[in-house]
Amino acid sequence: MKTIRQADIIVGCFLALLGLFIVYAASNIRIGVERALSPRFFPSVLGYTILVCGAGLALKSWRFKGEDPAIQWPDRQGLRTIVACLALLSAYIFLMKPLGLPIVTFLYVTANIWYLRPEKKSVAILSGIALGIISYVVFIHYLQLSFPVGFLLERLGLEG
Amino acid sequence: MKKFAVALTVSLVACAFVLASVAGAAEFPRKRVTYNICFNPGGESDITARLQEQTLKKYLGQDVSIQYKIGGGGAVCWAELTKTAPDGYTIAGHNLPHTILQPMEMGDAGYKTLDLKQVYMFEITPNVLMVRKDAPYNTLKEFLDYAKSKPAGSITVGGSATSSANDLGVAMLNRATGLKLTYVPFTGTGAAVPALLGGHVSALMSYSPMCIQYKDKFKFLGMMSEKRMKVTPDVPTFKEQGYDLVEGAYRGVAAPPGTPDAIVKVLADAFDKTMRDPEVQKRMDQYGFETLYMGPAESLALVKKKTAEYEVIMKELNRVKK
Amino acid sequence: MSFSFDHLFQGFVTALSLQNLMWALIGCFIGTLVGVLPGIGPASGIAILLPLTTVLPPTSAIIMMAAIYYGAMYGGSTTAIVVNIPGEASSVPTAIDGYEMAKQGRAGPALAICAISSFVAGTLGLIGLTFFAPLLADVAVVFGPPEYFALMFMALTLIISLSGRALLKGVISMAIGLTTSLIGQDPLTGAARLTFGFPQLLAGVDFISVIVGLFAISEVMINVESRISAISQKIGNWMPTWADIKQSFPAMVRSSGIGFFLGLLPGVTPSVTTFVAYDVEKRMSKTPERFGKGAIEGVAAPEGANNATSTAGFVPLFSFGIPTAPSMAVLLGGLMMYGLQPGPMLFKENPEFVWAIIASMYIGNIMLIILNLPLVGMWARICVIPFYILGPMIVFFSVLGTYSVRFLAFDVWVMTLFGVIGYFMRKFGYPIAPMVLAAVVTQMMETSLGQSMLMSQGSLLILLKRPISAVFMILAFLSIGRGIWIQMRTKAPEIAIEETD
Repeated sequence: MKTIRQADIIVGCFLALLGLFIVYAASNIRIGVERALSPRFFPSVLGYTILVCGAGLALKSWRFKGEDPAIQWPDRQGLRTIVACLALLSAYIFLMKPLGLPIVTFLYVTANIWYLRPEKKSVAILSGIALGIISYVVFIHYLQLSFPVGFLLERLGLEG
Repeated sequence: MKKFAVALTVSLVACAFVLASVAGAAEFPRKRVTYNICFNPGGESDITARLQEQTLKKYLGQDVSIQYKIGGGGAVCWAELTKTAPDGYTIAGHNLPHTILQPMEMGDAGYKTLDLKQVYMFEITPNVLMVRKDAPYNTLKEFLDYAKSKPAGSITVGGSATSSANDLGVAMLNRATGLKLTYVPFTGTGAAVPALLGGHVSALMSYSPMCIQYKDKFKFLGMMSEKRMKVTPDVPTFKEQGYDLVEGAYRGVAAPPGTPDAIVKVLADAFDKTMRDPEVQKRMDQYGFETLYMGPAESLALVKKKTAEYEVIMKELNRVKK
Repeated sequence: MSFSFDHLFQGFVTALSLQNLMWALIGCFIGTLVGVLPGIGPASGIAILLPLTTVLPPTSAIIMMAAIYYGAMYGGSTTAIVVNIPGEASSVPTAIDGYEMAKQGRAGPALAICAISSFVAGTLGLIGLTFFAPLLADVAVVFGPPEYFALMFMALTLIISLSGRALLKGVISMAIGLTTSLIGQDPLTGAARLTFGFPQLLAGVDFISVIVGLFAISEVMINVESRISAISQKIGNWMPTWADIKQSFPAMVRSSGIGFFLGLLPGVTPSVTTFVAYDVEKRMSKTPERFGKGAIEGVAAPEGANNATSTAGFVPLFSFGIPTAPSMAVLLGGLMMYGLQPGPMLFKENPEFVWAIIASMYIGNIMLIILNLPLVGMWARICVIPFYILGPMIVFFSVLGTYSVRFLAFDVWVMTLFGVIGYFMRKFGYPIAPMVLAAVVTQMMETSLGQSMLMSQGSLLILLKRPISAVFMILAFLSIGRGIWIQMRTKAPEIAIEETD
């Protein structure tokens, strides 16, 4: 998928399949009681819309001949950065419950800044500490939101 | 090495959970209790929780934090509750008939009625049938006669959600009178009000607080309660007008399945004291909520009794999941 | 609620007491903050703060809560303009032209025009509320289910102008947005839909997660891949020129009108009216090709509309006790904590309370413009913060905001997924705004269609039989027809959203 035209053809076909799948999924919605507006109606209409538009897009791009702009894909290092950032974000969400919001925030912010700019280690650590403390003091302690506190802090008796 | 690290983390986490729950049972509550509300802010469940909040804090000796978990007509909140640690620090508002009818109608609602550990049932708001002040009928009988004179299905009655007490109330009225009133569900009690104000539906089946909030906009034809409420002495019951229909929404709190009885008792006692507090009592009356004082055992008995009742009605209406 | 100078005067006396002034100021400040943070909207902001206000007397507490609500309308645009991350759904249209202006080094003027437009619209709306509330109140109930469906259907056709030449992609974006918000349990019937057997999907996809993912997370991805050090090094002039003000003033007034009248309808939130106002401005403009490339009217219009809408919401609230938006419902619920009876009776029995709040809103609007204009310079500087710090901070606040809606980790995963989807949409040239608009209107559209069909015993003709809905339906179909015609005529590829007809 180097150019918009190629992408449109591929994505268009994918969308057509997605539309088909949604139509199929909609036909499996249990109706239960007879209602004026079937719960299948909206999902089916949308499934068909995606199917038709996806196919239309693929067809239109297939027949299109003219200037075809290239997609600005990231270079290898850019790709690596994106994947690393997404992995860090996933770890952040995944570890939030066991570690608790303040600690996992500290770890995430520090790690992410560190990764993006390894020469600024102190900035990374200080930002991590600052946001970790904010998340505890403002959101857990003061506003009393039920974010996970984490077993470490709970042991320390910090429970909101 | 990697495996070891994973194993270590997992066992540490597990230990922490066990420790936390054991310590919790000894002297409950030691920290803030989260009180989840399963419906939109501004609705009856939210309003009751806000009335209880301050007093509940006093009797529980800990902070109470009210939070919203909205979606699927309450099912999101209740399904989530059944997956929550049964330590008593998370409770949720719960409503009848919702928690009975959702699993009954859908088969899989993400929770089962009896999964919810009953803590306390604190209020009932009976169904009330109301019309606009300028409507040409003044009594239930006049309204029903009017409906009879119109083509079947052309008279619409708005209410809050499907499979709610409002929905059932209209179905029961249809069954009792042989009429075919069309029930139009809205996304909440409040959302149905403009529809009646604007004359888009002929009547509303809603709850008792409306008799006070909208007393100068609407006429109240009948209440589906055993006897008249003392705060609304002018609103007649269906019973005294010849229709033996009693239906309404019950509200209470529930805890996750498996919550120790000792903890449930602490919570129930705090709710009991709260509901008996004169200040709370005054507010409940003022807003048209009828207070109940049902502990865990009584609430469970009510749930079972209502389940049996609804099963019959729903079968008759052909609305049970096959 | 009818107008009397006595009441208004009394209201000002109450609102101008030192204590109430202070709470209004604090409310304005928190509101601005709530608006700035992605994910945390005014409704959750007010709900979170409600228990903390129990120490205040009722009037002060409600003055503060109301200030949070309209203050959030000022704040939502800030991050939309500066870093292309709308703080609220209602600021999505602001980002279209606002961020373009920021890229041109004109973040300052854009922010200032936002503040001015908010002030103008807020004040015009207040005048409507003060003097014509009883007359306007009836507008709020004229709309029944068929009218709501028709209005929302017409709103959806706005994607034609939001997607420019990439119409097919705009429709796809819309359809996916609509489908996404159907996942989970049907709000009325509880029927499980499109859950593909995953129990987690029963909870449905919260649209805040979708919006935060599409904008905040994908923006961070785009920025880290190119290793840019900061979003913009240029700050340029902070203050708008007279030409800017002159150019955007008509847009401010028009959008105030649109926002105000649509805002009288319960359920029509600022997230819808800002799109409508943006669309109208683009159509009215003699140079529509400037829109999407940093047109200052494109910034003024949505900002005016959202402030007018939030003010208009007080009309049905004060006249009937009907909340028009979730934030209003929280506000109404809050009244009960203070022993006040919500509903129409409150405003009959406690006029001094109502008028104090209205008076405080005039004062709050003045405070907000005083608070915001000097801060423009500070906000504009956000975009020169090194991105390696700003990026993780944006992610932190996004996670926090998304999680705090329902406290489900699932929502945060949805946010991440939509971050990735948003990233590819940007790469492949799909417009994002239609998806947001669709996600906002779906539920009301389906609910009101179902209700309409119950009212008509299954006939769709009800939509054409009632005059107001008929007008909307006809306008919508004309708009669709025009869109198809333009689509057939152009031979260009489905590429850029910037190039409009």
